[in-house]
Amino acid sequence: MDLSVQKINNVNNNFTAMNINEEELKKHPVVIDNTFSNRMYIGWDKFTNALTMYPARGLKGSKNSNFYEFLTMGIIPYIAGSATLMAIFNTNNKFLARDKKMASQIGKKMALGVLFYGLAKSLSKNLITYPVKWLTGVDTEEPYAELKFKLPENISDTDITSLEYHKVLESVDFPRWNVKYGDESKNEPRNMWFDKIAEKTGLGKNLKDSDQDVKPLVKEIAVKSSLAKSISSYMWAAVGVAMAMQKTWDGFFNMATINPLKFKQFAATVGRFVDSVFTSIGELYRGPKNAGSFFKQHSGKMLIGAAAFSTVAGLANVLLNRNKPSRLTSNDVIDKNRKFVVD
Amino acid sequence: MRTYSLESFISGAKQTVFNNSMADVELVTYRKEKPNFDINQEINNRTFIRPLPPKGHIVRNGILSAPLNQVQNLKTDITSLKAAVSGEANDYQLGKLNDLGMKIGGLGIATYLFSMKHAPVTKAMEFIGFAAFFSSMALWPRLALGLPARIIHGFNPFIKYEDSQGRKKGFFSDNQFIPFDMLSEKDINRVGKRLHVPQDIPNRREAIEEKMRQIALQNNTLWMLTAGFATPIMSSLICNRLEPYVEDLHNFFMNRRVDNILEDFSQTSKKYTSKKIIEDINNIIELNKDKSINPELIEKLSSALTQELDNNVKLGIKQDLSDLFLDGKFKISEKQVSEMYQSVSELIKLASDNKLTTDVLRSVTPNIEQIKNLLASNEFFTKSCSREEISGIISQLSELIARNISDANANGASISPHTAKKITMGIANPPAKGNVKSIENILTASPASILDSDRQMLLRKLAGIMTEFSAENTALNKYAYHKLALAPDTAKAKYWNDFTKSLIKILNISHEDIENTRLDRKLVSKMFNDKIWQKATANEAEYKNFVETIAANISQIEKYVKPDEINGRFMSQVEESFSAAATKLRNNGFRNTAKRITGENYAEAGTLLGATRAYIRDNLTNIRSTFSSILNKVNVYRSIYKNPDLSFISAENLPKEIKEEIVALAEYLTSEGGYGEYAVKFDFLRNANPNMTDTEKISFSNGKISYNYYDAKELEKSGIIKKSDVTFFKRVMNLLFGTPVNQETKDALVQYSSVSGMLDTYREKMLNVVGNTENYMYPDSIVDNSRRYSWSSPKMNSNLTGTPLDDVLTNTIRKTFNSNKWLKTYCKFGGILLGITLVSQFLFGKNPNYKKERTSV
Repeated sequence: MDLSVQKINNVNNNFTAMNINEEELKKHPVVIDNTFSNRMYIGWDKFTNALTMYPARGLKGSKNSNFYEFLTMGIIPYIAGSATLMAIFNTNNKFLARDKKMASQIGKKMALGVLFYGLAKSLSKNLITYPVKWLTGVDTEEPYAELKFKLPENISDTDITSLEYHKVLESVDFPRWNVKYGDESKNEPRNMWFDKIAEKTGLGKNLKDSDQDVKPLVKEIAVKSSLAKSISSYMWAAVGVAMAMQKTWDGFFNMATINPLKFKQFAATVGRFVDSVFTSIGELYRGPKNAGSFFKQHSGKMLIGAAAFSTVAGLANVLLNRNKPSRLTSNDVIDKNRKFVVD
Repeated sequence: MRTYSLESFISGAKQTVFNNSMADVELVTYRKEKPNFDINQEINNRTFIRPLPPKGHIVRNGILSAPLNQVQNLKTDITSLKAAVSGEANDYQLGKLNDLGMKIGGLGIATYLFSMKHAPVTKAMEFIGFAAFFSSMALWPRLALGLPARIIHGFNPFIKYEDSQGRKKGFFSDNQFIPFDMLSEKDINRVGKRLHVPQDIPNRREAIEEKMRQIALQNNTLWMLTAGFATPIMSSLICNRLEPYVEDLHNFFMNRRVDNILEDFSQTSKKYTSKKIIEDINNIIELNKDKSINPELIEKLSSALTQELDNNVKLGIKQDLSDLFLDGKFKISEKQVSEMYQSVSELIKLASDNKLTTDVLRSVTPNIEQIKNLLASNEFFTKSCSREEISGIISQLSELIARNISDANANGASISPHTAKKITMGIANPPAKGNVKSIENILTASPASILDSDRQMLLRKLAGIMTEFSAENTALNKYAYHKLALAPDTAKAKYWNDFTKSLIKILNISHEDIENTRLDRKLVSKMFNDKIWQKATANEAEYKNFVETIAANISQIEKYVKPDEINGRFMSQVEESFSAAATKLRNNGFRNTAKRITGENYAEAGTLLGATRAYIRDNLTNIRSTFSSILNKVNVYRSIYKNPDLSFISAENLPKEIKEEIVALAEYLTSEGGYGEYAVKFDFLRNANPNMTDTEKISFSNGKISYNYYDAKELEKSGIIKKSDVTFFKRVMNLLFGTPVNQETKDALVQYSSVSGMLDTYREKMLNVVGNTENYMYPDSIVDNSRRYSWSSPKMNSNLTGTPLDDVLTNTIRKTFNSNKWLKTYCKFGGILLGITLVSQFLFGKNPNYKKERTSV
């Protein structure tokens, strides 16, 4: 098949913006710079596909629908679930004014809690990702794009490409080492990336086979980072929900507007929102006035403490508790010259 | 490390194992089965390496195996966690940890929200919500997709399999890797039959598998599309439905726990014993033993002794301690002399407005030696001084200063008589300005009383008495709170909520009724009256059934609140505990404290005992009155219906318009309960010139009263308040509370004697307190001066009236509307979602190219 004539059909092609060479992409997976804008592009692309192309393919029962698409569609329950939860907490428009006020006071906080859950969960992963990246050189979130070729759905189906975004260390069983080797045709040292990691992690410089030395270590970092992110991100998400429950938000909701045309009020809303975020952390930490019980007074502290601990402990496990490289001993190798007699 | 078996290569070997972690491989055979076997060749060619026999299988999950699966899942989670901590986890294990993190986070949220809630049920609901959410996540695909698919297509697209490594995965999760070989021919054929795959096609198994794949993929996709909507709705509906059961459960255990308090009170009250009083008193004694007792110490002791009691008792104990410990005498030491000197100097400066020169000030101010001599000459350093003696010494000090002023003036200072007077007076009565300590305060700083061993012993004894009493009081308060407090999850709240909710059903209040009336209390009141009239004008059987239903609901008070138990055992225990404590206190000289706990000569007003009893009495009266008033209203309406000439309240045949006015006021009062607030609510507008010729009976039509004359709207314009018509008031009160209970009502209440008794008590008290002409709402209009003032208090009126029924019903309707609205919205939404999901199942597996593909094979 002449790949050069194939157009890559994707809902949102932002190859230029993401600095992806389309021709190279047709030949092999291409690593994408892990920048904020690229993450946004990838996220948006996956999101739109998850809402359009992938469900369409899935509902048809297409052979081309794969596990990547199934997992990508996981965003739908997240978005729909969040919106439904917000709606459930705020179904009070037919209530009497007094009931509505009371219900919406809680409802709005719960809706904010849903929003903070998602934000805290996503943002808190950076507390693991970046320190690990700075201190080891391993970017556990580094993305790459890969072009997949599908089976034609019918005789006239010429749209047989599908673009997938993965992460290099997405699978710890099968990390995509191939995308991390240097391109020798461009005079890049083959083990360029592995050399860098070896040096940064203290394995040494100018190693003979740095890739062989580095791979187990990177895998270990990926596993431990994944553990740290899995636990801590949900703990921070819980902190996010608890923040939304604080008293300061009552005042915020009383003055807030979402109409940007009311410029002054909108600007004040934004200011108050930022202020309330910090105030709510303080309120959560201090606990309510006249709490009446030790647990109520300090539960906020405990929650923040648990989230902070999960992050610090997770990071410490990645950075300080490193396994020693395994060394093969003669006992591990079968001596081929030895005589074995089957008698 | 993997172990490979060579058994298949070397037949006849007893036990032949090759392990690449071993230094040597020793193969022992007893027969030369393979004389040409060469291990080097085998190893070089790796011919012995071949897959282990597959152990993968379908996981059959039943309800019975669910607990075991949970244990296995937990085990997997722990193993995964251990592997991930050491950096050796695989993708499967990391996936498990993500689920674990989600659960831990969810638990964190539930725990925090739990800590913020006050009521036990709402606290419990946080964890139930957490469990419901995760259950819904798991149940939705199983119930809404898996089960219908199984029924329609013959297989469950959400089955799991366990691979050879023991990892459980979705069988159809990966559309491009489905381990169909785990399904037997029999299973496949069974599904094929259900999917109507023709028997005579080539590669039939493949065709069936392809169809299964397609259906499973479609189900997986639909799962992703619907789960986001379904999970929150399902979990909130689960919580909504579960909450009443949680309330019941809580109430059951709470009641049992609280009832146990009275079972063996002397023992159970000990559970509430706190050592804090004794510890605090010991600490205070340690810090102050053999030191003088001052008012601050008395305050500290009083606070420590009454930390779990009210301020009233604290004041009593403070008074007693002052009486017992302070004898009004003070100790004065030489140390106080310099303090006095400083103070005198400052007071003189202050009184002279700082106008005296330093030399004059020095000559006027008595020096330390002079002050010391003054005190010593009066033997102040050797004896205890009374307040009078202290006043005397202050006068002497003033005189000394006056002499000093005279001397100073004689020596050329020009202190005016006015300033001189201000200075000498300022010593005894320091000016309010400035922050100078008065001489009196300095001299009375150290009372002569000492916290000696006798007083220490008394305090320790008192701490013991107060500890025991506080524990008993706490236990009794706990009982009273859980039974009757105006708080969520108490027995009273449960009873009240259950009863008011049941009113909607008992009165046949439809959704339309709720929609139409919820915005206005007046509309609710009118609808309420109509509903009661419907029941009151029904046939005997229906009426009896209606009264029985109400009585059955009212009688639940015996189950939840248990008024007899409260009036009996609880009140006795209160009396016993309080009296015992008061006696012990009295015996030890704490008469004021005892008085503030129980009172003297049965005068318990303003005492702790009185407050405790009143709390119980008022609460019980209020709740009983509220529910009795419903029954009374029904009874009155029935009496009117059965005797529409109102002959049972008046011997003379009243004009119809007057009859209607009497009934209209009865309607109004029994709905809106204006008895307690008659200044604003008891006004009743009547026709100034009623028709006195028509003496017909009250009319009824369509199951309710039909007014021919009484027109509330018209009366708003032209009606008058006939304040002096006491007879009218009497007739209304007689109708409501004075006439005997209707026989049909009595019959219906035969099996509910407690409710019947409650109704009788209510009617009797209402007639005495509200219906008596002494309590007529316009006492000033009664000519008989000797009977013009009411002896009933507003509190009594209010408690007896209870909560007005229209208020009760308006709140109930409002809550029911909100709850129904929410429920209806999400039931509808959930129903549509479920419907779409179910119908979709019939569209799955319809491959348009199927026939074409099959015929071309």
